[in-house]
Amino acid sequence: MKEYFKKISLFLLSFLGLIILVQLILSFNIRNKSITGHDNLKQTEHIDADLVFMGSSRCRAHFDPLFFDSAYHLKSVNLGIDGHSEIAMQLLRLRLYLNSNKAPRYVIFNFDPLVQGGSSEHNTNFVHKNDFARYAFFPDKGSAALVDYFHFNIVEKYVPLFSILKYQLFSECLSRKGFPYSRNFYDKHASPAEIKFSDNADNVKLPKLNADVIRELKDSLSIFNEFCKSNKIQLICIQTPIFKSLYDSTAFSYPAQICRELNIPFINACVESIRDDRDNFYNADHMNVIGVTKMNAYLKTDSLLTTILH
Amino acid sequence: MFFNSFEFLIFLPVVFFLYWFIFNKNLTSQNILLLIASYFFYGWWSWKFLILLALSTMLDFLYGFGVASANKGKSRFFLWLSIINNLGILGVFKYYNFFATEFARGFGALGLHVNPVLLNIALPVGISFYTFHGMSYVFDIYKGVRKPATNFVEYAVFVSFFPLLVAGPIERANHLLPQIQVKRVFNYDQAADGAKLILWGLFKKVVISDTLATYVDIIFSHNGAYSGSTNLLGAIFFAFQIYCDFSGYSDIAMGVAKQFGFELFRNFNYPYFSRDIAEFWRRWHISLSSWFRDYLYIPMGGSRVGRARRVLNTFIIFIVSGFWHGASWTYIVWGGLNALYITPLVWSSKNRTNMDTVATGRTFPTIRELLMMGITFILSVFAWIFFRAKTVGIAWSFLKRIFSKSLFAVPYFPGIGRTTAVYFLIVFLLLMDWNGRFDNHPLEKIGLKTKPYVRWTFYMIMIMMIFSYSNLNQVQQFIYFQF
Repeated sequence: MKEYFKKISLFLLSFLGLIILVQLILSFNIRNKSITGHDNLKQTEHIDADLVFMGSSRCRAHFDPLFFDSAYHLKSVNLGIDGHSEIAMQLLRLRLYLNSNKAPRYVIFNFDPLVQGGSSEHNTNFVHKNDFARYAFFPDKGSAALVDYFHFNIVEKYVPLFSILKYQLFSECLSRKGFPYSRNFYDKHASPAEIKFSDNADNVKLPKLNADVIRELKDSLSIFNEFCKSNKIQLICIQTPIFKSLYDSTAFSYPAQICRELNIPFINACVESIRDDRDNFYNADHMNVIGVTKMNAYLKTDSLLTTILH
Repeated sequence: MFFNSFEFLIFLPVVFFLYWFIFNKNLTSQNILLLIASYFFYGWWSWKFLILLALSTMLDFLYGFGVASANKGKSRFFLWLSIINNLGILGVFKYYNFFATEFARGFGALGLHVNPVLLNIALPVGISFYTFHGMSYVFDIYKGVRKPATNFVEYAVFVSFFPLLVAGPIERANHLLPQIQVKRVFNYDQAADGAKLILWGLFKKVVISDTLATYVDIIFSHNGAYSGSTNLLGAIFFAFQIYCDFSGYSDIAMGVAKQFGFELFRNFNYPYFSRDIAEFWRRWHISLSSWFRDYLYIPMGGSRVGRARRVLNTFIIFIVSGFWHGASWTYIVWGGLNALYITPLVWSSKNRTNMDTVATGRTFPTIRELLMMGITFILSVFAWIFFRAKTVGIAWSFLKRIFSKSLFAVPYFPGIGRTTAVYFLIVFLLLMDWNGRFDNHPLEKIGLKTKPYVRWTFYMIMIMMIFSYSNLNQVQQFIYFQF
């Protein structure tokens, strides 16, 4: 019995040593790299920008940093994150961005009726949680908030390799040389112009906007705005186009109203000329390159944006 | 609780510790702990079905005394009571809906419309296994092979011992009960061998079987969309999937039992290295085959009867065995097909030709042996199609698809992914099995002559692979749990 325990313990200790070693190798291999393309905070670490775009996948698809670079001579990065339209998440990501970057002069937030307030403490949105499992093991000060946001548990945080294996990131972490940073993710990867969408295949619905939801949105945006102000960042909200099948004039009037009340500059780019043309869209709530080009042309003529950014 | 789950990873060391350090004072405390642990293990799925398990255990324990009676009539009465009781449980939970539906269909064919009353109840996990445990106990007493157990706890551990409770091996009272009736003393070699068995079983299940399942599930659910060659490859993949799944389970069960000082029946003996189908059935699910041999085939006359009767008995055994797996025509056809394969051997009395292990005394098989193994394997693959398909109709369309012109197309798996890793895993399995074909399991003697750190590195790589292939979010169930 003693011999058995001795050998089992020795084996387990050696195994523990091995998995710690593998975890360290993986952590080293993936540092400063995005391994899935979704964790674009890693890609923009130490890229100081004048203008940062924040929001969900709509932000990621709709704002082309190259356009803003050339039109307004502002170095821009897009931090849009797929599947997360909560303001709480944007605030968290902006904090993380500021941990390793200089504060930008402007933050453009994609603000529309699809956005929710959300909560850092009581998050219920775990879309793409697996992409963030790489941060879970012994999270540093910077990543701890993100790890808590996704509710990674104690085992995932302190058992080496556990979170990477559980969320099936092992082979990516081992083999991935780093997902290339695309300044406009959808331009290069998911939304080529030739893809036309069929609205039969889409089941996106606008969230119900009642007084409580609007109040929550306003409170969250206010906190976001205050945080920006405290870091000397000008927050600008832009409502980007959506295909007409999703459009609801009442719902799409709320963002402007909230921004007016909070005194945040607001530009409505969800204009009829773009939202009525199916050719501009990849799916009902994401534009393709054709749509983005048209929106850029529209924004170029917007006097408020031009005044702020110049 | 699944063997490949996180909960079991906690459960096993806890029970092991309690067993050897806290409850090791005497036999009774060891058995009481095993009983509690087994009921906890089973209750993890559904505590409600624990009542059924306890009731079934209690009744067979009592019937045992009745069957042991010197009065032949009384003995026979209790034997039948036990059979009715066990088959009744199986009948209600497993077969009732099948028979009700089939009777209604039969009446429908005669022009009589009958609405079958169906039961909306879940199938208790492992019901086919523990009822067979109970029946074998009563049969053995009736045959005079053993005396009834006098201690209920010991008998209850025999029926519900957690490593074998839900998917076997189907133990015999004569083999397991005597082990339960003596205090277990820790044996280093036994425990170390058990640990290797657990590792090898988990590797087969998590790394090989679950990987193959991804391909098999898609091909079998959309077989029409794939070429004949891809369908054939899907069936071959299933043959390896079910082998790794079930033999993996059996290895883990045996390995876990060894940690507590028990030796269970060996359930698999490298079946895909069989040279004919009779040999295959001596090497596949051995505990079930031998159960049917001892309690059905031999009482029906065994091989002492004439040729025609022997063939008939063989058909009965295989069809009952198929039906044991599940209430579906697919299992019956699977059993029938295997009976058909074995009939020429039974008829010509050549069913016990290949009793040794292939290539004994040699490293490689001869061309003839290779051909024989290949043919046996392909025959089993065609039978597995019926076992895996949801209906007999689907199995037929699967077969038709295989024997179409597209059989000669290059297998292609659109939307599933590359298969390189799968081929590698199958080759690795075959090499390991071939190398260990004279041993109880491939890891038994491998690397014993090398330095321990070499062996340990090999084990660690296997453990790493198990973790990297396992889906800790959703544990894949063992196929035989449904039976």
